[in-house]
Amino acid sequence: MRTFFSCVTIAALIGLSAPASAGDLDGRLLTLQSAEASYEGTLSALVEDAAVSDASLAALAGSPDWRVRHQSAVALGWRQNGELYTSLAGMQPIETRVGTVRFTGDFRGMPEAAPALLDRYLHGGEDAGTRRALVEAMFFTGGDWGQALVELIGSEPALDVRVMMVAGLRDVEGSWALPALVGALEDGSPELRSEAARALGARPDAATDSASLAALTLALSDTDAPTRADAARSLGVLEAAGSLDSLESLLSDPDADARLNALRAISRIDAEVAAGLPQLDALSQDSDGRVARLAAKIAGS
Amino acid sequence: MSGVYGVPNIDDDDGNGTEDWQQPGLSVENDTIAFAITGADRALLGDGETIEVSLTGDTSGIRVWYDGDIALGAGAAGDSVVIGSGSEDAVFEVEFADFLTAGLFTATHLDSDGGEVLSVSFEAIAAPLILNNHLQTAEQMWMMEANFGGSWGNNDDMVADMAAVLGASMQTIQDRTYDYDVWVQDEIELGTLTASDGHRVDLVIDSIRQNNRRGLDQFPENELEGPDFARGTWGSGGATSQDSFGNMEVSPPVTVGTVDYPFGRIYWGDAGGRYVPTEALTDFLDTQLVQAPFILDTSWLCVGHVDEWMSFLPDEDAPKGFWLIYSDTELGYGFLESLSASTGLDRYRTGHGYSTVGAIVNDSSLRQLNEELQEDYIEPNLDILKAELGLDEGDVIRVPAYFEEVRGCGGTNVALIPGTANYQIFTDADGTHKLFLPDPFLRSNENDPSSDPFIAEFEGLLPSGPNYEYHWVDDWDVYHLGLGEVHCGTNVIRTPTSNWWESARHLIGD
Repeated sequence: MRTFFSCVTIAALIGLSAPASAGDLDGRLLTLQSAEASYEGTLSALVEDAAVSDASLAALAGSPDWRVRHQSAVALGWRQNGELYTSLAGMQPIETRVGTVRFTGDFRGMPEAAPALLDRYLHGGEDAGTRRALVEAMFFTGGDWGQALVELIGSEPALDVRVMMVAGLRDVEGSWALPALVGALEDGSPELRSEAARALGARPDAATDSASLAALTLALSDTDAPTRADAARSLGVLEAAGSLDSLESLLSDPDADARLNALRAISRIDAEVAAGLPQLDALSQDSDGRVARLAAKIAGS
Repeated sequence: MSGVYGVPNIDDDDGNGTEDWQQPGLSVENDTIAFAITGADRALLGDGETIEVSLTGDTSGIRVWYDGDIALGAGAAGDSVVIGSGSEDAVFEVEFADFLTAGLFTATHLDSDGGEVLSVSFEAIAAPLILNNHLQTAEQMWMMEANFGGSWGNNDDMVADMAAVLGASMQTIQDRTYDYDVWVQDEIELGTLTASDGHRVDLVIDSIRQNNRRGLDQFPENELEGPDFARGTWGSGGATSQDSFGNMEVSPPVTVGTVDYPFGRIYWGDAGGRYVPTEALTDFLDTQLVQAPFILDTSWLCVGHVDEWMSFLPDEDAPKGFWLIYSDTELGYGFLESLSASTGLDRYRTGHGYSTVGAIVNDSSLRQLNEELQEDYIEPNLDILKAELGLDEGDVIRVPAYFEEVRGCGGTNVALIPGTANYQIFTDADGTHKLFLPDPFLRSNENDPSSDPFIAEFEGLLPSGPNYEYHWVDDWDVYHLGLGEVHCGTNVIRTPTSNWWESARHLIGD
């Protein structure tokens, strides 16, 4: 937990503030972003620096570099919304019923909370469970965090946190989201790949993105059964007609979820094709009751 | 065959941390059950005639005390006791080591030459553990007062609302004492042991979820365990979510085919692979015989508990005396479509990303998910329930429900609109059924539950009348957003019902 106001005061006392012109503010923010041990002091100096106006910070909200956007928002946030920032820095997560931790409360629906949460993720020294909760909390703010997560996936050491980052990409806007999810489908972790497969299925824009559809189709041959199953489901949700042949080959997959999702996907893409599948009789006798029921339903429709 | 039906002596009447069976002859002992050769019978004995009492069966698990000594069974010097004529009752105190420990007493009237005149046998059985079900009268409810500070969530309103209804019957525990672990349902499962002399011992099953350093670890030891309140843990090692007791429930009394289950049947969820309750516990429950467990599929849920989509509700006017309250997503969508799409949903905007009813209805991906869950899991589980409990559709009240995927939980799901079937029921001794349900907040004006169409719809589906009170409580921040609901955060001590040695004797065997 950070107590930022005291850091601001200490920074002012020991003269950490440095003069800055509007011209080199971008660079100063990028330097701040990469600061580690000296982060709080450096940020304090910026927050206290009268030479950096609120307007100059606000003007960077449209920067194409997420790091510049983030650090300017954080500096501005501490100046204008210090009470919220202090509260978010000290906010404690609740333990969910499944044993993970999660943040609840009034930050939800507050876009201005996102930079504070991201800042705590980046510089708060939190454990993996809390970092995961911070990432999830950002989803509910409606703020600017998506592009940052895309870049941070690669440097985050904990798999659970990375999975949560990928999960968050299912409904953020930005041209970088789909390529990031396509890239995640090639990750070494099966948990991450299956999460990416599900996330793509939840994005309507993936339905018209050939790279996403190709990656999902390729994922039907993944060595990980849940990834195959999730890719099949997503192709069905996206009504990817070009994947019908690949989906049909999955009907003999040893994994029941893969068979089920492939059959349902074919049905969603083209009900007539599904009703004419030569495998339907065999699938209606499938050892998995869900597959058998769905096959019988399609056959009878 | 009549007999002696006692409780296993597994509590700790002297509070020294050692089970009483391990301490023969405690001065504060109260868990034995007596039978007597009466003074009237003894007076009928002629000169030299005696009554010889012996014990067979599991004699290592039974002690029989007579005249202050162990006369039969474990630790006894001999294998029979001889009672001569007299006018006083010869009183035997029977003590059992374990659940369902069984023996057979034989009392033989011998003549003066030692010849048998008459022999009578009667059984002695220790009570099985009987877990509580929702039809039983409630005595006390437990929940945590949780305040996470600032505006980051508390259950103050919920606690106040429930305390106003339950008064002294509600017991709260403090968040700081138990590390803000609000999941009281999950830490403990409550049941009873009863004897034919009316003696009752409550038993709390203490979950192995504590092995994952959950905050309520010491709750059963501190707040429940004591004289006539035993505690037991079955299993060890790391726990999964399936070891929590929201994943272990009991049906009301049912008849399945020709078999009566007067104490209902236990059911739990299996989420596949290692995500099952610890085998040590499920094996133990299998051995208790009277509530023959069965299994449901909870693999589709992030938390994976059987209390997340169904419950039971007593109703004397129902075909079997109760209703199965059961989630139905198709019904849910039909209901939502009947509402104005522009209805603002502030809680859902910040909690789930849906700002209006229309936003939920028009999310085709969400609808597809709910259709799949209904078809692949909810209906098949209902088929299992009907088969295992002897139910038909006429015993089911379907209620609107909606689920959504939990991010980062392997593609599994949780209730979107608060899982209304995940309620807690507290039936007073006067028969009033008090239901505590999660407020769905499916309305524009959060402060006006009377304007909530979901509440009106739900109450319209359930029985009404003076015996029913529906209390909608705000469980949103602490429980709903924590992947649980009212039931998950509460637990209830209930009054045992019928005599197992009579109503369930057919399930125990010889």
